[in-house]
Amino acid sequence: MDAIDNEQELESIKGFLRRSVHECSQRGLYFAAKWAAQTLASLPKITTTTTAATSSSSLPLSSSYPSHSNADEEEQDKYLLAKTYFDVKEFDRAAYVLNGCVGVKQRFLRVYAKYLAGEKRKEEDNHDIMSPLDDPKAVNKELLELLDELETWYNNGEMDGFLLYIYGVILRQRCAQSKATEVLLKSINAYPYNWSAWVELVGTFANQSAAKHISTHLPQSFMTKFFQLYCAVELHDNAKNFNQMTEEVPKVFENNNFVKTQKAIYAYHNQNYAEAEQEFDSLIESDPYRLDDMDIFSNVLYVMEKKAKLSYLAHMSSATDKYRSETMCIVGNYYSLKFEREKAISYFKRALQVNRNCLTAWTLMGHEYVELKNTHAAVVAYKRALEVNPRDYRAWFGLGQTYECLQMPFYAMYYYQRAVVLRPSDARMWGALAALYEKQSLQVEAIKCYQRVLGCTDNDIESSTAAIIKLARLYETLNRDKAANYFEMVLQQKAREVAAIDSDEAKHAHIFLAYYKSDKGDIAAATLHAQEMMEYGDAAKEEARKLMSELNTRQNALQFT
Amino acid sequence: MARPRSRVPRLNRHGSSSSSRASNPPLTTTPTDPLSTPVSIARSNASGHNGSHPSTPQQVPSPFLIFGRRESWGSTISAEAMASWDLEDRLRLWRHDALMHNMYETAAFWGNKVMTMTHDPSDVYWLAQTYFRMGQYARAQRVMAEVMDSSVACRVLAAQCSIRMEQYQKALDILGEENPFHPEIDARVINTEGGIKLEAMMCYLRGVAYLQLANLEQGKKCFQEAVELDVKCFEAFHALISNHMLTSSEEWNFVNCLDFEGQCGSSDAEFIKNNYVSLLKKHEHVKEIEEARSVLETKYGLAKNTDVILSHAEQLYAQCRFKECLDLTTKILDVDKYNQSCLPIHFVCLHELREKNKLFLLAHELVDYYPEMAVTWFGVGCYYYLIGQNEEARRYFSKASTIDSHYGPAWIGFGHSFALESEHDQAITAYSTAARLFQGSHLPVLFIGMQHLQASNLLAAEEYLLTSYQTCKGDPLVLNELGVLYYNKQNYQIAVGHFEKALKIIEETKCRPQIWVTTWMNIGHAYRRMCEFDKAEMYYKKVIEISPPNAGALAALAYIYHVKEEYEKAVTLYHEALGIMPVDSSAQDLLNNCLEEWIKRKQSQQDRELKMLINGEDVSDDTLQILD
Repeated sequence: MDAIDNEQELESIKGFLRRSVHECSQRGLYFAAKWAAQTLASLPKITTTTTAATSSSSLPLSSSYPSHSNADEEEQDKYLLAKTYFDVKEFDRAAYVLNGCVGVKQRFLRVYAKYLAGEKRKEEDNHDIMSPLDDPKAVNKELLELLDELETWYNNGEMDGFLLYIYGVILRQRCAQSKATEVLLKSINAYPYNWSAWVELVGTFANQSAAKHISTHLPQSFMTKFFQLYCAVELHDNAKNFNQMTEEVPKVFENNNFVKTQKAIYAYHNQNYAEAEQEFDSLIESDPYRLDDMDIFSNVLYVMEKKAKLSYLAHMSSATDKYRSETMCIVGNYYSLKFEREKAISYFKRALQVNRNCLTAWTLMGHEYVELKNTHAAVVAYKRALEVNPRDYRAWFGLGQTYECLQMPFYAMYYYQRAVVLRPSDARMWGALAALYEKQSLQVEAIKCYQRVLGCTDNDIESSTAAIIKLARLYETLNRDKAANYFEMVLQQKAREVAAIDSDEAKHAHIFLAYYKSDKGDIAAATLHAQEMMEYGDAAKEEARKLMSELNTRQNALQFT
Repeated sequence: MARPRSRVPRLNRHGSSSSSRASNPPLTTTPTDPLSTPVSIARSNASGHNGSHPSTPQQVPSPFLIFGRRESWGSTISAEAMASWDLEDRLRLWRHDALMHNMYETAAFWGNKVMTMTHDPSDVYWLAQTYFRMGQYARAQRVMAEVMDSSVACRVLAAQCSIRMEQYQKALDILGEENPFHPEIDARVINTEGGIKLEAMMCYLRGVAYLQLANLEQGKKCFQEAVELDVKCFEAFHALISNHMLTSSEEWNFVNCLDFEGQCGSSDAEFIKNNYVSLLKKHEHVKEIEEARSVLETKYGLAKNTDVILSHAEQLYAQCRFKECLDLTTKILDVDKYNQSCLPIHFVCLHELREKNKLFLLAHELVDYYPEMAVTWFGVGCYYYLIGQNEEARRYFSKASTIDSHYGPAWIGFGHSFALESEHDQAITAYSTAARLFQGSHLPVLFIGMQHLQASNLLAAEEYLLTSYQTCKGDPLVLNELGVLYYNKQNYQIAVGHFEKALKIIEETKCRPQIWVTTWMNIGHAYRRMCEFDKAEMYYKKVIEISPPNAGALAALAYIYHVKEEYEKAVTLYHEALGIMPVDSSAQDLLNNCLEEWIKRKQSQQDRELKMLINGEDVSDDTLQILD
């Protein structure tokens, strides 16, 4: 029974996806169509033959052209003309043909074409990347007019899922985030199979809480599972939630490349580079000409310093398509790994020439400029990255580092904080912020941050040990009980030999603990620490002897009483 | 930018209406003329001979049929019928026919003959009329010299001749400086025939002469008298309206006091009145004007009439709905490409919407076809003004005003081009000229006030702005400027009052809120000065919502949070503002201050928490409570 249920469910999912491919490509939403088709292709074959009724209902192609009256037919013809213009990228022309049409599909295509025309002009108005005339605040001049129109339709309730989607996109560009969220939610509820709408929706969230907030308004669909998975990756959710989300994706999608990609990206962000590499490897194996997200793969290889493999990836992607922004990012990464920074920057710039919204390129270019000590350019690049995606913690963090270099600690503090908010479970961010607080003699803040470092789950031993030492040192003057606690942790780490601990630190820990214990009256423990001190050079020996004799006298005194 | 003004009808266009008169030789229709000898050629022809030989019209291969009234001019008159007339009548017929078709030499030749033969004042009049149309004004006057005293029609024509020759004082001498026919006193002035009364025309011509002699008051009075004498005398009404001689309320009273019914009967009265109402200023009585327009559209089928559409366009323009306005003016120009009254508003809309390409083409076309018209050069000036070449713009605006010294838009544009360069004094001079020419419009006065405001002459500014407000209470721009004035006088309460009034009007007119972003900002600033930070915050947020990205509003909002000691929010917003406008030094300073205060607060918090730690208490971890 179960199997048949599953089969039927599978069949219906396939039906929805087929329809989605069709609907999306009719409207020129190629990205969404591609996504749907990929997902469809990843589904397993249906073994049992289903009834004719279900298969025919899955894709009623003919009924999507209902021609009731002459007016409808006329609009349909206009649509066909406009669509051909649209396909050859004559957007204004396409929009002009559809003027005055009232069908939702026609309206959508017109608005979308006009929007794209505006985007194109915006691009053309821009000058060379990072040149003085490159205006990051260039606006799409068509938006205002389109917005007026869309608002009327919205208020009259004349919109389908797709029109709501484009309305949401435009609202987002106009920085009306909350309204955009509302509209996009309506869009996905009206038509859940447009993946672009889900992606836009994630874009309206500033942080995780916003995403949680709307979770009850989501439609019941397998798409929602994909969305939640995507959300977890984009909003840097913690590992537990992420794993739960991967579990929740229906079993039929287990071979899905999208899920694999998300796993890989998540692993990369959480420094599980080996796992990320593995996922990407399997992705390439199943889809050798794929370039989407391969720039992230190159980041993984860069961090792992796998020069040869990165070179292989660079050559492979160049062979596939030289002029994709992903390819250029990969090549840029390759040169960066070879310390050819100028060359790397020129490739990142080329990537941006192709696609100004290429986040990876902006951020990586920022990194390169930092290496070249060109702080001004680095700041510009990072800020542009944040304009593309304000949730890019790497850029916030990079800005923090840059301003720290520039001796502007208050600015740096602000940027680190932003990074921390985005990734509250990333020890690197907390460590940097803590160090900065310490430098500004804001010890309490520093303590709070170091404690956060220890709280991070996906933490490597090195940084947590460093944090413990810092905490011990900070507490030394403030609260000896706590300091003692941390010093003991330091020594434990040393005993377990999990991390290399500087001998000075160990010595310091013993000295502190020896005095602390003796003050507390625990002579035995104090003596133990004093003995340990003997091992750390002459000066320590001297002090240890003095302490030992003092301890002895105290012990004797104790015995007397 | 300059509000549109239609062109001053400096030249008498009497000639254009004379075709209707021509069918009725003047002396039959003027009972006040003692010399009238009713020789009603056309009428006798029409009644006596018309259609007696129905076959004739088809045989005449006549291009004249396009005139529609051709048959009454004798093409249907049979040869026998003509033969029964005497020579004089036939000469008159030839003269009229030739005149109708602009064959002036012919008309003058035969007219001259019949005049010499009869010495009839009517024939004199028609010969003079012919000379007038040939542009031989002095000759026309000379011909009429003897009969002028006795014939009103001749006197009107003679005055027209003088005006054409720019001899305005002489025109007044001919017409008399006062109107002898006061409508109340003189009930004799009744037009039995239904045309336009000659007395009204005389008043109108008197007005034109006074206007040219720079006696605006007297001119205005004459125009008003002309319309009062005969409501159909549109030229006088047009002169009043298009020159903005009356303020909005004066216009309204004037139209309401006119005796439409008494002069034209109730059905025509409604038609004329609604037509006139639709032409009034659009800042006040908008609802009534809309109603008048809808009557014209529905009841009289004038929905596609250019004047009615233009009335609508003007209303949209007054409401700053430029896009819709441009759609309408484009529609008008599609039908009537060189519509004089539509062109200025079209130019200004193109300017507002920054359609420089269209403006360029249209201005070029006008230069090719109408280089002698002021509006042409006004358009060229608008183009240069739009592309920011003020020097060139001024050159062309001044060319427009040289062609027609009464052309107000050019003066306003001239002033604007100075204002843009902060040349306050010169701008004020230009605006003053416009203000003198357009006494009924609040705009020139408003612009003068704005210049004084910018030059921080608050006293003078207040005077001008209040005058402007007295003239027009419905323009949000005036209210906004008044608000700014009181803001500068640190009288924030009153400033807020004005801004709120302005915003209320803006809301009612449903124009795009983006146009009035400044007013939203201003009210925010005023509330900020009054330390009502919550309200200020609300207005700043509104600005950010309607016009992102707006660095000023972001910085102002940041300042509010700064004052409220919500430093984290403030810092974020300052950063955003600086991201848009990196050179804003005041925002930079504020950001630095804000960061310092923020750190100071952190330090004091630190001191508190240090004590707690030393006492062995725990401190709460608030590191993530920021930036939510």
